[in-house]
Amino acid sequence: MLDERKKTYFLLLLPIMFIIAAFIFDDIESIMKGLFNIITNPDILLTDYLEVGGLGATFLNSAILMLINILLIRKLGMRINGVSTAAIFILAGFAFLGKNIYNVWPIYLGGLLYAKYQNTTFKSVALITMFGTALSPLVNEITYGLNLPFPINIIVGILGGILAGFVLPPLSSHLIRVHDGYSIYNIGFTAGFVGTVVTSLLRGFGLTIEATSILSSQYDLILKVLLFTFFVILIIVGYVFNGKSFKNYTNLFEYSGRLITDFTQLTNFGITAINMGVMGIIGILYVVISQGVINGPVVGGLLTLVGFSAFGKHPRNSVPILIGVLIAGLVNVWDVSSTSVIIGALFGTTLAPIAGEYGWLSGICAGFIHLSIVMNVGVLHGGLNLYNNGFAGGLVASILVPIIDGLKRED
Amino acid sequence: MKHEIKKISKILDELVTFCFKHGTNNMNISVENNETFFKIKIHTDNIDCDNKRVKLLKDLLNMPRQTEIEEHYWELAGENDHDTELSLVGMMVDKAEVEFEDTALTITLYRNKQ
Repeated sequence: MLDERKKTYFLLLLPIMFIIAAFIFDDIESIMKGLFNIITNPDILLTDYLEVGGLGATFLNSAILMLINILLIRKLGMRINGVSTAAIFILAGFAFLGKNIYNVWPIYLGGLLYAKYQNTTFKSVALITMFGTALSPLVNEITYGLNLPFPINIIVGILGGILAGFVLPPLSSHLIRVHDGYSIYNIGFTAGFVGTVVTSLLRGFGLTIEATSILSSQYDLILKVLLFTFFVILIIVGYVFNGKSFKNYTNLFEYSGRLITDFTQLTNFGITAINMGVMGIIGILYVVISQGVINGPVVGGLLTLVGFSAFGKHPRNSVPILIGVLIAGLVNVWDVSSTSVIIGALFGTTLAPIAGEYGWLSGICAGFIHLSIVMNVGVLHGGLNLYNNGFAGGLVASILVPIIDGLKRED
Repeated sequence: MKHEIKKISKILDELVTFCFKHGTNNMNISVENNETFFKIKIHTDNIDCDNKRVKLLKDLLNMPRQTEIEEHYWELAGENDHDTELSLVGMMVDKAEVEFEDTALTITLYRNKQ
């Protein structure tokens, strides 16, 4: 059994790599300028920070968010397990497309106020708050996107974030019953509803919130090499943690992945790290097969896929979803090499438990339906919910699982 | 903590489902609401389990209590008839005792009030 110190070092691998890469590829002046651009952007989906702030600033933004949250996990006495690993990786990934060192903190403050209000510890809601930074664009959109006068824009933006952070804990535990744990990104599902309500209210006052599309393509090769290297490192580290062996790795495939499936506690940290690396390589292969490029949103998809490979995803339950999205991309009107379809596949693995529980055919169906849903629900929240695929995945699971279940003859 | 009574009911739901899924026809349940902790006990004389399965049950129920996971996921306990959430139950209790002899199984769980 690994101690918490070694698990912390494991989590520190990625931020350290990003910090080194940031200063290799950019100088301090352009990094600072890039960070300023990132902080002052409205940030609604899809805003690629690589395009807005450049490579160095985006790496540093991601590294800082990871480091602070790792510190938070340690200070609060939380365990480094599957779900906290997933939380760190999802923060790392979305720091490429919407979460930054300014807009996440009001959500934390909202979580803290909720904990105080309920007379409980912040630790008990910390995970929800970390995932809840899906609504961070709300802060930036109100601050910079609605043309409110200074300083009212900042005050209202921060208050909006606090309110979102406050309501997420009770909502998330309630809405999880809707899909019964068959969509892994439950906060994405929850944040989708919150984002929809907020966007509708703002539109009611005549304010416009529209999804955007700012994407980069110039860092494809660098990111492919860097991420592939990192995923290989994960496999090597996992191999070492697992007693210099890949033994029992395939035992992981027996789990459906339905919430909650914490591989770090059900198997061990070594096997989990191997799985994370393998899933990352599968993700990159999917991008290559689709002939797409790796940009900010795709990095977000890859790192989220890897993070949740500590908490439910493995090749057997995730590949059918990827195939389903790919088939949908080929037969539908969308371009399979586009960023939207690629991230639809990578994030679509939120539905992996369906393939894990009901078989590969159900998984392919889920992936197929998911792409159509995810391409249409963004308009509801106007891009305020970064986990658009989590929202879509929750809807797909809520509808599909009872139908599949109803078609089964046995009890 | 909020929803304390409901959480106890969910834990019980998961244990009852486990027993039924393993061939039990009859079980005895007792729940105690003490000053500082809840005690949940379930006993059956005719469960279809082997030592390997009981070992897994013991491991899952003895996972360390993790309030951060409980707050987010507790409503999933006892909700599914295909899959189990015994690891979640383990994260919602402070101590678990599992006794197994021939076909008789007794599970006793303790959940401290916070």
